[in-house]
Amino acid sequence: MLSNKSMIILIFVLLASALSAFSITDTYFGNRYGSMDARAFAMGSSGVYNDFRVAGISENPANLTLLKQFVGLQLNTVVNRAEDTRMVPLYNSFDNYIDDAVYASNINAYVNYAGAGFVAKRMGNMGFGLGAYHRPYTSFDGKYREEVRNNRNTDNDGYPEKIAQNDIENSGNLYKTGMVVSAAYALSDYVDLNLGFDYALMAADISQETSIKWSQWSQDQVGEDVVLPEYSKIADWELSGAQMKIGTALRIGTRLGIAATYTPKATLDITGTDFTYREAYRNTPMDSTLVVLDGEHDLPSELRIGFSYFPRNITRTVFNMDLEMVNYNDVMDAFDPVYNIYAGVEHHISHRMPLRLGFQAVNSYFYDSEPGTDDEGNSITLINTRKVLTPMITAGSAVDLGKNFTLDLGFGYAFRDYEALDLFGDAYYNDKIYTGSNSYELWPTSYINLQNRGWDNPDKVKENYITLNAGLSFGW
Amino acid sequence: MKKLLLMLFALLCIGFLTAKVDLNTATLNELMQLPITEAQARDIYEYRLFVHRFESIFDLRDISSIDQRTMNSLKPLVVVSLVTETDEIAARREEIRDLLERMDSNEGASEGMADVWEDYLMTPQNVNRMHFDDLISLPNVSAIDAVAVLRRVARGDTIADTRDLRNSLGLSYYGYSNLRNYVYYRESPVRNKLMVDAQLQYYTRFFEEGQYDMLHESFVPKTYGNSWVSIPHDKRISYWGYYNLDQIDPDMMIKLRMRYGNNYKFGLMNYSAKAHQGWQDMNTKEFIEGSKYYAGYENTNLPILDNTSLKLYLGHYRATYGEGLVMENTDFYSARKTGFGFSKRIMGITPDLSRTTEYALKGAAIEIANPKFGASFFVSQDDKDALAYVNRDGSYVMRDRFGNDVFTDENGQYFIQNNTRFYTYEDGSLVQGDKRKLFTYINPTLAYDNERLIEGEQWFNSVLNPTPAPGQSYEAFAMPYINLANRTDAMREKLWGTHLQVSPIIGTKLGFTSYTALYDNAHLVVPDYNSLIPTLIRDSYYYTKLQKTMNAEISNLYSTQTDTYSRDYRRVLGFDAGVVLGNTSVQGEYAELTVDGEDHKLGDDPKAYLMSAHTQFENLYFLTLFRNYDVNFDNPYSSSFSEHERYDDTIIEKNIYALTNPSISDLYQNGNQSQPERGVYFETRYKFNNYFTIGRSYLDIWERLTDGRRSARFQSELEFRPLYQLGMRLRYKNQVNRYDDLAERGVSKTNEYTMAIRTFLSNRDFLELEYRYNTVLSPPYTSLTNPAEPGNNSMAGAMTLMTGDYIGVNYTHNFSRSLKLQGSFIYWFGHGISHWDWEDMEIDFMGEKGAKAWIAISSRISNNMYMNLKFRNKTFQDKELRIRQNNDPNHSDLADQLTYFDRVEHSENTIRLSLDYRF
Repeated sequence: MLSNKSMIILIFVLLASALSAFSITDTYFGNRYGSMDARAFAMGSSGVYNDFRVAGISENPANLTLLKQFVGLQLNTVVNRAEDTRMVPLYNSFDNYIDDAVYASNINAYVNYAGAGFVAKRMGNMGFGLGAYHRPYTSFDGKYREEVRNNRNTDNDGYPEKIAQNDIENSGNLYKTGMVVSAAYALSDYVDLNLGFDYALMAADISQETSIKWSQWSQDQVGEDVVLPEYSKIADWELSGAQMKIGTALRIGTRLGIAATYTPKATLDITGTDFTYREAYRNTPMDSTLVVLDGEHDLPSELRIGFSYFPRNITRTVFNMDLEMVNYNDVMDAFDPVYNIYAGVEHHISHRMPLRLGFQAVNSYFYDSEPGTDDEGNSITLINTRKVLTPMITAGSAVDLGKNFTLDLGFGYAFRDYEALDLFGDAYYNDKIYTGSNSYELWPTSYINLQNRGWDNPDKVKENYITLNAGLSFGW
Repeated sequence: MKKLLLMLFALLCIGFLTAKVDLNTATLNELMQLPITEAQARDIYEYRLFVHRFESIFDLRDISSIDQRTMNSLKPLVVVSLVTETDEIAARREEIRDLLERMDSNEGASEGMADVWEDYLMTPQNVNRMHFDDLISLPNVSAIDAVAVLRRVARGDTIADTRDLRNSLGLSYYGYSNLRNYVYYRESPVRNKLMVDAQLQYYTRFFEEGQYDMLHESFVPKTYGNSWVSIPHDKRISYWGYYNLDQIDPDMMIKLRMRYGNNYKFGLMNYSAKAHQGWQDMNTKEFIEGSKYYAGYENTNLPILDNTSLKLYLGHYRATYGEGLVMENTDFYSARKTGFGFSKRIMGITPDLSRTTEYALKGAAIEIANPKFGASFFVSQDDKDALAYVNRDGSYVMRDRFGNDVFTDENGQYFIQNNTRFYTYEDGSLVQGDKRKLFTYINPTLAYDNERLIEGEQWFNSVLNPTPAPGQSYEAFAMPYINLANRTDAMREKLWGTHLQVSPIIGTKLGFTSYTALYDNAHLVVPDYNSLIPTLIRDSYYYTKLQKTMNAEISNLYSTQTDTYSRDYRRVLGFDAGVVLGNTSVQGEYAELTVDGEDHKLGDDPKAYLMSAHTQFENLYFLTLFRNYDVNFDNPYSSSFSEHERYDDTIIEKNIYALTNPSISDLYQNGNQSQPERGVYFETRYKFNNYFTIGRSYLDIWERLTDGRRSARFQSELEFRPLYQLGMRLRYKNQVNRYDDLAERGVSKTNEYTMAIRTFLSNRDFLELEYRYNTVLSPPYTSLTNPAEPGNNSMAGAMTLMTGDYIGVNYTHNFSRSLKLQGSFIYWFGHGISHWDWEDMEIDFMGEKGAKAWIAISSRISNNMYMNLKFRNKTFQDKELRIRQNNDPNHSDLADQLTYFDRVEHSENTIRLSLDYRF
C-alpha cells in the first residue's frame, strides 16, 4: 500500500506522460496499438486469454466472464516516443554501396487513453457479463521535419545554408468504442467455457498535411523577382464504420487456459478532401487541385489463438503466448497473410511485486504505387508492397495502491528497418527550373545532379519506439 | 507392552493430525472451514497451487492477506504434511538442472551434440555395461578414464554407486565428476517413459562481418580493361542492395524431439535461415523437405547377443569416426578440435537435428557394437548446394563424358566448342551434355531458391552489361557475365560408407572407415591453374597480384573429370587406431582420397594423418598432437584438428572485391574443412592447489603447406583464487606468422594480454571485469603486394605496429532459482585487430572499434518450461571509409582539394527469444 504522497506522485506521472508519436510511413493502415492493458502490454501484448484485467475484454470478449470480479473498471494511458531516421545510400571510392548516411532524424511523442468497464453475474454454473470499452485502434499521428541544405562549409565544420524546409504533420486516431457480452458455463471448479461477442463502432478524423517552404536565404539568393514555389498538400478525411469480434476462452483446470478470437474483415467509409496547391512560377501556372475522397477503407480479418499457463513456481508465474494471423489479403491481392507472435511471462519477485517481461513480433504492410507500362505498352499502376517486421521487447510491473486498486506499468522498446522512397524528391530544389539560368544559385557546385531517387537508391528508414503504458484498474 | 503403548501413542497422534487441516492437501472447501475469510482461504489455496507447497506453517506469512495474528490463530488448527516430488522425470531434471543449463549455453559451440548428451543426462546408461566408445563420447571423459572403468567391470567387479565409481583405479577426478552425471549403477533413476522436448527460437540475427563485406561487394569493377569507367550509383549492383538484406526475415527454428527411454527416438527440426522460405509460407511437402528429421531405435543390450548394442536410424544422422579425418559430418568449422576436454567427438552414429544442412546425411544408418567388435553402415541421398558454372541465362553449363563443355544452339541442339560447332562426335554419335558442370560443394549465406538467385544474377548481368543490339558493341563498363554462382540442390549426392572396428584388448582399437559419394547428375571440375585465374578473378589487373601459391588450396580441389580420369564419385578411406598404456593414450588416423591412384591402395593418393598422445595425472595432463594434411586432400566430410580453416588468407577470404562473383567467398565464410597444414601441438593444464591453476595452455608450431608459411602460436592462462569469492585470470597469447623468413611480407606478430577479475557474490551472482590489450606488428597491405619475382618490389618497406584493446564488464544476477538476469557491456578498439566475445550462448567477433551491450533474461516458467529473451545493441565502425566531400573524389573540380574520410558507423539491434518445453 502506498502513502497518499506516493499516490499523488504516481498519478501525476500517469498524467504527465501525455506524449506519444508514430511512424509517418503507415499512412494507409495506420500504426496498430498493442494491448491497452498495461499488464498484458508488459507481457508482450500476449493476452487473448486474460483473466486478470478489465481492459482484456477489448482483446477477447470472452475474457469478460473469465475475470474473477463482478464489477471492474480500468483506465489506461499509452505514451509513445518515436524516432525516425532517414538515410541515403552511401558509396565508397570503389563505387560500392557500403552503407547509408543519415540526412534527417525526427523524434516526437504522443499520448492516448483508453478505458474499459464491466459487470458480471454468476448464476449457478452459468455466468453472464456485460462490458464496454473505448480505445484507440490505430494511430495516424506523425510529424516529420527535414531541412534541405547545400553542402557549403561542411568541410570547415561550418553550417551549410538552409534552402528549404519540408514538413509533414499528420494527426488522427481510429478509435474503437465497443460493447461486449459474454457468457460462461462452469463444468467444474477451474474448468469453464466462455463465449463472447464484441460489436464496436469505429471512427477517425484524420488530417495529413505536407508542405515545402523555401528559406529567406534562398529567396535572397535568387532575387525578389524569381518565384520559388511553395507547395502544400492537405488531406482531411473521416473514417466511420463498425467491427465485430467473437471470442472464446476455455479454462482447463488450474494450470492452463486457452483462447481464440476471430475478427471478420471490416469496411469503413471514407469521406473527405485532398487538396494540393503549388504556386505558379516561371512559365508554369499554379497547380490547385481538389479531390473529393469518397471510398472504403478495409480492415483485414484476424484470427488469434493463445494460451495462458500457471505453473507452480516459487515466483508465482504466469506465461502467456499468442499467435495471430492477420489476413491482409482481404485488403489487396498483393498482400499475403502475416503471422505475429506475442509471448510474455510474469514473475512475482518478492511478495506480490511482479516483474513482467515479454516479446512481440508484428508484421505490417506498406505499399506504394507508381505509373508503369505492361508488356504491350499500356499504362498500368505498379504496386510495390513491403512487409515490415517490428520486433518489440517489453517489461513492466505493478503496484497495489489499495484494496482492489492497482497501477500497472508497461514499458516497450521496438525497432524496425525498411526502405522507402524519398519523401521529397530532390528535383524540386533545382533552382535552374525557377530562375531559367544555366547555373545554380542555391548550390555551390555545378555538378550536383538534382533528380528524384527511385528504387535504385531509396531511403533507408530506421525507426524505434519507446512506449510506456500505464493503467489503473479497480475491481470488486 | 512397550510396543503396544507406542502404537497407541502413534494412533493418538494420527487422530490429532486427522482432526487438523493439512495445508498441503486440504480442498478449498476444507480451508474455508477455518476461522478466516473466504478470500484468505482462497489465497492459501492459490499459494499452494501457484507458488509452492507449504514447507512449514510459517510460509503462511508469505501470503499478503495473512498477518501474524491470523497465523497464530491458525497454528493449532492446521498441519503441514511432507510432500515429495513423485514425478521421477521432474526429479531427475531438477537433479541435473545446472548441467542442462550449462549444456544449453554451449549449444552454439557444440551444434547438436548437446541434444545427445542431454538425452544421456536424463536417462543415464548403466556404467557396468557401457563400451569404450560410449564412455569416451561423454564430455571430459578421456580414454584413460574409460579404460579405468572398463577394466574394473572386466574383472567381474560391479560398480555399485558413485562413491564406488570414484574408487576406480586410474579414473581421474575430472573424468569421475563428469561421468557420474551420465551413468547409473543398479537401477536407472528414470524408467522408460515418453519424453518430449519442444523448442522454438526466434532470432533477428545479423550477418557476420565477412559475410557483410561479401554481400556488399559490387559486381562492377571500377577499372575494366585497365581503364577507369563511370559506375552508376545504384545500390542494386550488390547482393545486399538488390535483395535489400537490411530487411531480411529473422531466423526461426522449431525443434521437436521425442523418445521413449533411450530406445525409440523421433525428431523434427525446421530452421529457416537467412533468405530461407519461412515455415509459415510453406506447404506440408515443402515443410518436410526443408526440415531435418529422424526415427531411431537403440538397444544397449540385445536379447541374443550378450553385451551387444544396436543403433538404427532413418532420416538425418551424424557419423563420426576416429579423429574425424574420413568422416565427421558438420557444416561448422571449429579451430583446434583435439577431441579432448571441451572439444569432444561423439563416436559412431547419432541422431542429427543440428543446423548442419550442407553436409547433413539423410538416409539410413545401422551400428552394432560389443566390447570386441563394432560395425556400422550408412547410406544417404540428398541434394547438395554447389558452386556451379552457369550460362548467361543462369542455367547450368553442361558437360559430356569426354570432359567437353556442351552448349545449346538456337534450335535446342547440343554442340561442343563455341567457335567451330561440332554437333556429333568423331564416331558420328550426337553430342550429349548429360551432367552439370560444378565447382564444389558450397554452404551459401543466402539460401534463396535458384529462381530468386538467377533473377538477381540476370539483373547484375543485364543492367551492367546489356545485350547489345545487332551491330552495336557492349557498353564501356561491360564485364564478363557471372560465370560461377551458388545453386541450391544442384548436386544429387548418393553416399554410402562403413566403419569396422576391432578391440582385442580394453582400450586398444583398430578401425577402418570408408565412404563413397556418387554424383550421378554432375561433374566436379576444377580447371588447371591458368584457366582458374580468369574463372575466379574478374579483372586482369589483379591476375598477377593475386597469384599466390596459397591459392593452390583452390586449384587442388577435387575434380571428378581431369586429364587423367573421368569418374562420378569421390572416395575416401582410412584407418584409425588407439591404445591406452598406463596413464597415456595414443591415437591416430590415416585417410586417403582417391585421385590418380588405385581406389584401395594406400600411399598413392592425397592423404591426411594425425596422431596424438594424451597423458593424464590427477591435476595435470599433457596432449601432444601431430597432423599433416596434403593440399589436395579435399574431403568435405572431414572435421579434424587445425589452426585455420581452408581458404584462410586466400583470395576467397581476403580479396572478395576481385572475385567474378563475390559470393564465391561463401566457400570460406561458411567453410568447414581444415587448412592443409603440418604441425605439432602441445597442450597442458595444471592445478597446483586450490589457489593457483595454469589453465588450458598450448603451443602450436605448424607450416601451411600451400606456401610453406611457418607459424607458431602460444597461449597460456594463470588463474589465481585467493578467496572463494574472488578469482583472477591472466592470459597471454602470442602468434608469429612466417617466423622462418622475417623479410617476407607475410610476417606478422601478435601479442594479446588479458586480465580478468571475477567476484562471486551470494546466490551464484557474479561480477566480472575484463581488460585485453593487443599488439600486431605486420607490413601494411599484405594481401596486395607484388609476387616475389625478380625485379618486383616485394620486400616489406616498413612494419606497422597496431594496438587495440577491449574492456568489458559482465554481471549475472539470480533473482531466484526461477529468474536469472545476465548482462554485459563492452567497449573495444580493434584498429585492424579482431576481438571476440563469448556471450550467454554464442560467440561474437568484433572488428575496428565500437561498444556493445546485451542483456539476457532466463525465466524458468515451470519445471518443464524455460524462456530466454535476449536483447543486444552493438554500435561499431567498420573498415569501410566514406568520402565526406561531395561524395565524388574523382570529379575534376576536386582534383586539387583535400578529400576527407570518415569511418562508417553501424548500429545493430538483435532480439533472440527461445522457448523450451520438456516433459
